[in-house]
Amino acid sequence: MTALERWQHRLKSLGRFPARPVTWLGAALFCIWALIDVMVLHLSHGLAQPTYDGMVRMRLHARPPDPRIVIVDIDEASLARMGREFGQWPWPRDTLATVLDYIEGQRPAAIAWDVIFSDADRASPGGDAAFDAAARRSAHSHFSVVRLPPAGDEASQVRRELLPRLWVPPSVAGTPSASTSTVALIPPRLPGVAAAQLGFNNGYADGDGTLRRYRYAERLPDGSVIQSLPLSVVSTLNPAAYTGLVGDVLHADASDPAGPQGELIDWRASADVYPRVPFADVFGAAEQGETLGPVPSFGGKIVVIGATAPALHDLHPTPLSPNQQGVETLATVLDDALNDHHLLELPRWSEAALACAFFLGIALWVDARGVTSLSHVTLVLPALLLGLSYASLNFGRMYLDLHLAAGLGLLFLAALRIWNALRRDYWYSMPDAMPASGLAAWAILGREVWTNLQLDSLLNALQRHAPDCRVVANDPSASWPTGVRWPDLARAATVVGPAASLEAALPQLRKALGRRVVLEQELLHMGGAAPGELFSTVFQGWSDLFRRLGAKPGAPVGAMP
Amino acid sequence: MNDSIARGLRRFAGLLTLACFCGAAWSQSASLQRATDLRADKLPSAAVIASLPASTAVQVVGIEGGWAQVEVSDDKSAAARKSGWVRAGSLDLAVASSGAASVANGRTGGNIVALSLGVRGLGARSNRHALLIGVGHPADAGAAPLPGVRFDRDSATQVALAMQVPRANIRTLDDEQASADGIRQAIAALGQRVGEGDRVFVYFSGYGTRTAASDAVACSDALVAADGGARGAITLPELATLLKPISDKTDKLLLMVDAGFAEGAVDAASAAGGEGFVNANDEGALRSRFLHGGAGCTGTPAKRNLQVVAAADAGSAFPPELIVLGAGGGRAAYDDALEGGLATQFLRDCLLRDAHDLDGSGAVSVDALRQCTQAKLDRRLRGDARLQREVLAASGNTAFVPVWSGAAPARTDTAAAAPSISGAQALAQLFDQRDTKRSVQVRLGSDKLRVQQDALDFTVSSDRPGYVYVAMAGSDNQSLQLLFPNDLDRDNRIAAGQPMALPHPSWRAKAGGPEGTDTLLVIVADGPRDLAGLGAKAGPFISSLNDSSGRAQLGALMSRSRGADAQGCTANAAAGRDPACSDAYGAALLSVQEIR
Repeated sequence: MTALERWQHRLKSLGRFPARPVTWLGAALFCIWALIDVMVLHLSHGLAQPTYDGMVRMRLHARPPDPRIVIVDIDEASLARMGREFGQWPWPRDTLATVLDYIEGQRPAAIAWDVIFSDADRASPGGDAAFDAAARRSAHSHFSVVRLPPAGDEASQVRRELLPRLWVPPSVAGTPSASTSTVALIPPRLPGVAAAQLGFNNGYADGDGTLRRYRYAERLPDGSVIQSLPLSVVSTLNPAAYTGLVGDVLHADASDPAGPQGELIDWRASADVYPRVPFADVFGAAEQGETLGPVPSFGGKIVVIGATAPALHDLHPTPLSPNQQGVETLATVLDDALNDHHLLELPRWSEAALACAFFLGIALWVDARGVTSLSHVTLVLPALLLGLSYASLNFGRMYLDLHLAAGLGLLFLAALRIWNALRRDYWYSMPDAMPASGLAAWAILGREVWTNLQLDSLLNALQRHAPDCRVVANDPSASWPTGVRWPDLARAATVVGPAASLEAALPQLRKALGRRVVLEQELLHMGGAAPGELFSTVFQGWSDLFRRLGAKPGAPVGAMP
Repeated sequence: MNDSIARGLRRFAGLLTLACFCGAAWSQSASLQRATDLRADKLPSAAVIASLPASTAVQVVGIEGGWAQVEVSDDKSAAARKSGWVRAGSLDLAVASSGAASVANGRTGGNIVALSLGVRGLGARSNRHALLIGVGHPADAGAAPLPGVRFDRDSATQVALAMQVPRANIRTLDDEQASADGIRQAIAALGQRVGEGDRVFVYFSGYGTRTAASDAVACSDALVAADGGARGAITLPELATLLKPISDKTDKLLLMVDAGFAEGAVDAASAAGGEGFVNANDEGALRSRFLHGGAGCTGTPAKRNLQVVAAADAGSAFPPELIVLGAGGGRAAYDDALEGGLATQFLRDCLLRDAHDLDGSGAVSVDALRQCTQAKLDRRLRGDARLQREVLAASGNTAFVPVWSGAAPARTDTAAAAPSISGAQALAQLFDQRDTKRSVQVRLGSDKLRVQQDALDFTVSSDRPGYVYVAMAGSDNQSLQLLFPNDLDRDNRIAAGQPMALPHPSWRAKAGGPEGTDTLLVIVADGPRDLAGLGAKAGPFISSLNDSSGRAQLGALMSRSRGADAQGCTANAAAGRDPACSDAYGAALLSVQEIR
């Protein structure tokens, strides 16, 4: 026997196990798998993330952008136009001061700076002084800091007293009145900026590098909370939403996706939906100079100032685009928070619970109808689950993530079908240790073509009462989808085995099949298990049964289907 | 103890400044960082009240947007006082740091994830190379570590990147790698790597010293390598010898040495072994970058300039394609503990941003960079009697433009605007970018042409094969035209030693007046140029605007071979590389009179 044959033999021997325990054991194993994946391994994310991204891109409808939001865009054209006078980016900050004063003078709702002012501009200290003064005058500006990994918190000396407006005020949502936590971050260099309203401006990408969630706030070890840039804007424009978002973070537990990981971003229809005004045009309007297009009024607007110029590298992969501009993402999360557009998720453990429920349902079904009855729905059931997820993304406030149930469910169904095939192989072939003599054949003629469920019952009875016997029968499942060929012949089956075992088991076998299944039967004795003798005995039995039937109901013998 | 007092004073100064900014009204003295216009209103279109030179003292009375309202007085009388607006960025106003930025905040840790903005740059070119050497910890017992050297590596890398050196072509030698033998081997390896017509940037940051010259007659300036002592010194004559093969082969070799060759500090704290001291102009402690040599070698070396050194010691003169930037004047150089060598950090800032087009070439030449750097050096050391002035000297072809961006450089005010120059001067500037090792001969049929009667004819010959380009500045002093190649005649290949008579029969260039002098620049470039970007046409000829942008564009296109970024060139194999990979060109400049 070759190594391959040995493996095939071992595999086939798996088919000897009883169906029910195998099915329930499989369901239990897949439940454990789902739990481990959700709690520890996260292997299914490889399936979940692209599936989710595809669903986001193919949504039937998406929320429209908030008409108040407008982006002042440091785009490539602005770099080229401003560069004639001010050189390469970053420009001296008096240019930004000019724009800030101009926008501030029109009484916007808010100005969010997607620009980090982390270092002094030694080449133009006067520009820094001008921007610092403009930041002090601005009542609507919100500036960015960059949150660094918490591993550096202990070494940092930055606490609430130094950047008071980065922390959520103690009056909100039960945050503590005193804070001793220090945070590692890149702070603003200019004192006027540091004293303004602040928020961290970080993206926390998933393991595949794609940005799908946004962290609106971060709870520190002492219970105090630091806010993100969008949340800082929301604090002035929608205090109720602000309190709600801070409360979500305060009360989130570790398994809540909206906690430390942040909540799913409710993307707009495409990656560039917010109106933009080139920075150079705003600067030109502020200095009563040249503009290439109309510069709208910023009164009442939420102005996001950021960069889309490719050379400035503010790009991230998101479900909408592999190169989404960071400022567009910022505008989206600001829009979501401001208008209470939240895409909620079930806790992670519930994904495993849903998957387990699905597996148990399959096991129940198999128990009642057999594995083969699932052959038509092996792909349909997981697809239905994904369809349910897709529907929740389109029509609900909660994204029902059923990828785990769908993915593992597909594997479970496939495993059941493979095991079922092995089982048929085992019971439909002669055992290695079949005795050379003293065999008997129990020929059976069914009332109809044997169904898979009836054959499963026969195999179950053999497994329990005559494990050294085997079956000779047509497998009706083999001819799907074209239908059963020679249906009359498919009504015949024979159980072959040692005469003593077979005779002893006959009462139980008859009981297991019942009168509704068996029309005629006959026990024949034969010498050995040589192929010639086996087949002649089997066919003799069938021939006797059909002869006995005569012209009884049923299709004429030998008719084509 | 001294440090803590200094920190306290700086913090106090910061608080004062902060208090000043918080006040309802401004009143702060400042000076102009660069020449600028005083305007009647805070608009670039407002009337100019006066043009103020750099370093003018002003009184700032208010800031609105990006503009500062200032008062300037010519003399003591109040009547002579002028009030107006300047861009705030032109002032050296002090601004304090925020409290959070002044304490430890975790920025120096690793694994930083941030949504941040980047810095713009030009695309790299495979025929650019750089060797960056930094020796901050020489083995000499008397040499204290130079803390600024570690910053210089980043600054020099930025300079190299700005000069379009690909990262893969930047080699660095740091401290223990930068032994004398290590430096020699690295330069030799660089010589193997570079090809004909390449551009090279060699940079050294560390101590300079004086050591006994090879002839034992006089002292010689030397660079202190990591192994220190006499064994670890590379004298300038030796450096010249090492660089000669590279200079002979390449189009341009820019050498920058940020090391001192004379003691500039007059007190012990700032001397080479001292702990350094802080002056009022910035935060970093300053130390001299000069290390005293051994006994018997304390005199001043007679040979100071690398070109002169080479002529005497390396056996032959250096071509002007070797451009050297290093300590001149009193030859002191200083190390800033927080930001690196003064010359290096300021040259970086000037190259990346601050330098102006002083010669109207449409780009920033080495000389303009030097001037910009010098202004920053003077400002950094202003009012400090403990240090001698640091002077950055440049030798070789100082008209060389390290970076042609294709766009006119930043202009921050009217006074610093590029001068208006004639077409002849513009062509002369392009002529200055040539490789003098390439010989181009032009023989005019006649150097006098009668207006509306005679046509231009001339013969070009070159010692190398290449591509001929002929530009002409007309006698109207306005136009710049590329006469050849043109729409009627595109075959501009020339063989080595084979004269090419121009114009070919398919076209003519007749003297069109007015009376005056036409200037003709004939370039034979190793590789073909892509001049399609110049755009405008005058008949079959391409014309270029004789303004700053036009000259910048022409310079950028003429100094860039079209084939240099092709696959065969990026393979970086110097040996056997196609001449089309080279950006170098030879040139001849001549005049033709248009007469009646």
